[in-house]
Amino acid sequence: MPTNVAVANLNEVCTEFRIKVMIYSPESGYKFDVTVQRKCFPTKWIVIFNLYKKIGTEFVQLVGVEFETETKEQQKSAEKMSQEGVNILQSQAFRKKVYPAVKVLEDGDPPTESETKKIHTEMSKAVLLNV
Amino acid sequence: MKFPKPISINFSILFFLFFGFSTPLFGKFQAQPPQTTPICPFDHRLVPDGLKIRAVKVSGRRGNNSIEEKLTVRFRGQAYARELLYQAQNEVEGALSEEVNQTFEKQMRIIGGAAPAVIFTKPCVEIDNTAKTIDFIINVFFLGVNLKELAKNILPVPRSVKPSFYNKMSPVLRTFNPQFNLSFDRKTGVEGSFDISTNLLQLSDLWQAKELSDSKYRLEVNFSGRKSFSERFFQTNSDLTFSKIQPDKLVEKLDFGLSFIANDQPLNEMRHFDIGLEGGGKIKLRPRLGALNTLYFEGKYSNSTHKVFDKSGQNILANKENKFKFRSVIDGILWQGFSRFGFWAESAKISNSSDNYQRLAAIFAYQKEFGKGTQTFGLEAVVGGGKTWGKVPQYSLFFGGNNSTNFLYESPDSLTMAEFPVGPLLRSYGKTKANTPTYSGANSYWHTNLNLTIPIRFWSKRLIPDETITYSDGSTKKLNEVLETFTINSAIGGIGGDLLDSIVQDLMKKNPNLTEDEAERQAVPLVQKQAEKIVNKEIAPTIKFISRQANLFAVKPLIMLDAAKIYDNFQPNGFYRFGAGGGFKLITVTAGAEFGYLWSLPRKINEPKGNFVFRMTFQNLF
Repeated sequence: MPTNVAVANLNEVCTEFRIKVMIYSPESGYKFDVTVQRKCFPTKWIVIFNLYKKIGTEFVQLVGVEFETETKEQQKSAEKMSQEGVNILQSQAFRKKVYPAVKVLEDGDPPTESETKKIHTEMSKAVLLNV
Repeated sequence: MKFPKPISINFSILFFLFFGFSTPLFGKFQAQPPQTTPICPFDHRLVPDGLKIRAVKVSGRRGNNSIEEKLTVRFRGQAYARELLYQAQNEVEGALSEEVNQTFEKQMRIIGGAAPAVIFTKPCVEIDNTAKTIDFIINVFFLGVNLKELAKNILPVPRSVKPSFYNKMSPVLRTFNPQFNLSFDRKTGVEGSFDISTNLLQLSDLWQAKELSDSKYRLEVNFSGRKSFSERFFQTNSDLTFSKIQPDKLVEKLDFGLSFIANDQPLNEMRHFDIGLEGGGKIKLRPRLGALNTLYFEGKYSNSTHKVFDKSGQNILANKENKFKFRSVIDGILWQGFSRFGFWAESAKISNSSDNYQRLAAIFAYQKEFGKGTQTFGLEAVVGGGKTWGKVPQYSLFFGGNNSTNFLYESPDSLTMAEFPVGPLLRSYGKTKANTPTYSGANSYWHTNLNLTIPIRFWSKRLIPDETITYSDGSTKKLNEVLETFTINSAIGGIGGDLLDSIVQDLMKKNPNLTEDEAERQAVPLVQKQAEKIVNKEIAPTIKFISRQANLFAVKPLIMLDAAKIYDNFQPNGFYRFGAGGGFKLITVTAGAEFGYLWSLPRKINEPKGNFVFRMTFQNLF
């Protein structure tokens, strides 16, 4: 098993932040938002998809998806998203592909392996749409 | 020389109003106990083990105490873990994105539609080394667009990037949206003004901080009052308006209303008292076309009583009159600056008499910031004129002076904007103090006024902090550039996403062999252009102004120049008046002020040599 050794470099410059895009309403009674988060030391790029449903008079968060970028391509793309925003194709993908994949979890049951895989795949595709 | 009467104002109240609302500006200068270690930006490697969480602090403007308390109660006493900081960060963003808060944002600040608000949060911590505790600090920057009033976006007005938790703030502020002004003039002395407005159809929800419905209809009650502290002068306007709002439509707002007005105002050496009822309608159009961005047209019928009193207080004129009034205001973006054109017309018939008269007046004003970054020269230019016809009673003649308060900065619905201009703006004279040499009042006039503000780098602080973000390839970007690019592009992405479906369907109809993915890729360039056009019309100029030029506070030297010509029936060639002076312009988070002195050039015999002008506006209290 390979051994990974991380050495802290205190001269490294990295500021942690989160930047949240405007809220989308894919259909009546539902909304979602997309956030790009940077964690530091080591740098990690995370794309967060939060789904809300209107219950009574309030929107309640049903599902929160944290997609941690793994490949260099994904990291580069998430980093680019944090600088340049969500483009048309990504906006469409979050609405048309990620949202339906996440919405199936609104019943509150834990996601099955295939549901998790589907969400991961759609999130990955959406993130990569700005490369 | 006449000096203004002594003024009895509690200056501690003024100090509180001016600076008390600006706590975010001064919060960072509060002394820190020496045993604490701030870690900002957050670096988890510098946080020692064994700390307990003591508090969560949020850098909001209004209502943040409540979210701070809620999160502090939830996290206090727990052993520090990095993930808890992110949870707190997520909770703060969630509270800001809450629908109830969003509806206040939408209805109270940005009536007209959803703004491309972007929330940027940066976590920090502060460690108490003695108590072995840690505080979480969530710094929030919130970029929104005021879609209700174009002027509020691209003029140097008080603003903040700190968010407001509307649903957690004082119900009085939230429900009545109060605005305050203070001004000084040689003739009227110190005047205070107070405006409140609320929507009666949602009064209960506003008060209880419940989510506001997205109703198209509003029943607004508005009150505007202005009172001199040292003289008897006052102005009041109370109105009840039923409105229909149609965001995203050309006809954005339709109003029908009734107003009660009562004024006691200077009229050169005399005094004019009037009281009356008005009824009419107003239409607000949003073609969003450059200089024709927003158009207001208002028509009213009024029935009023007028009395004029001479210097000794004797009533020298009493009239009742019926009047048709029309006015329009056109706001726009011209040569990347803000332009406003105002036009007033009225036709009056004196009761129990065959006398009637007509009046017209117009003002064009323009504001632009020149230069790069936040150190800009500000130019404000105003040109105006007016004319009367018929047998005009004294109270409807024109008198020059420090008359119109702030044509460029007032809301088109405000009391000042609804008033017919009293005469040319000559700030070196007290209100209505500039008369013709025959003391008869003017039948026509024109005026031009110029304000130039000069930046002083050390007397200002940019709105978006001068921070830099370093990326993985070693490149750096300023925070304001990141927020600008991210917000504008995401707005294009969001709007483009909405437009994409119909174009994809069209392409697939034309070429059935196209897959949906292929059609999307072909449609994107077409949609991109359309979305860019929409965003560039209104959202992009606003975001660019906030990102590049807006200041959190600024003190700028101010040069003021006035020129005017007034005409009466006896001297058709008219009389020139000139004024010049200087002062300072001040902007903070919630208040803007202008003060200075203008000299009359040349000084006329029997006229004062100049006038001290002072105007302070408290706004943006949210």
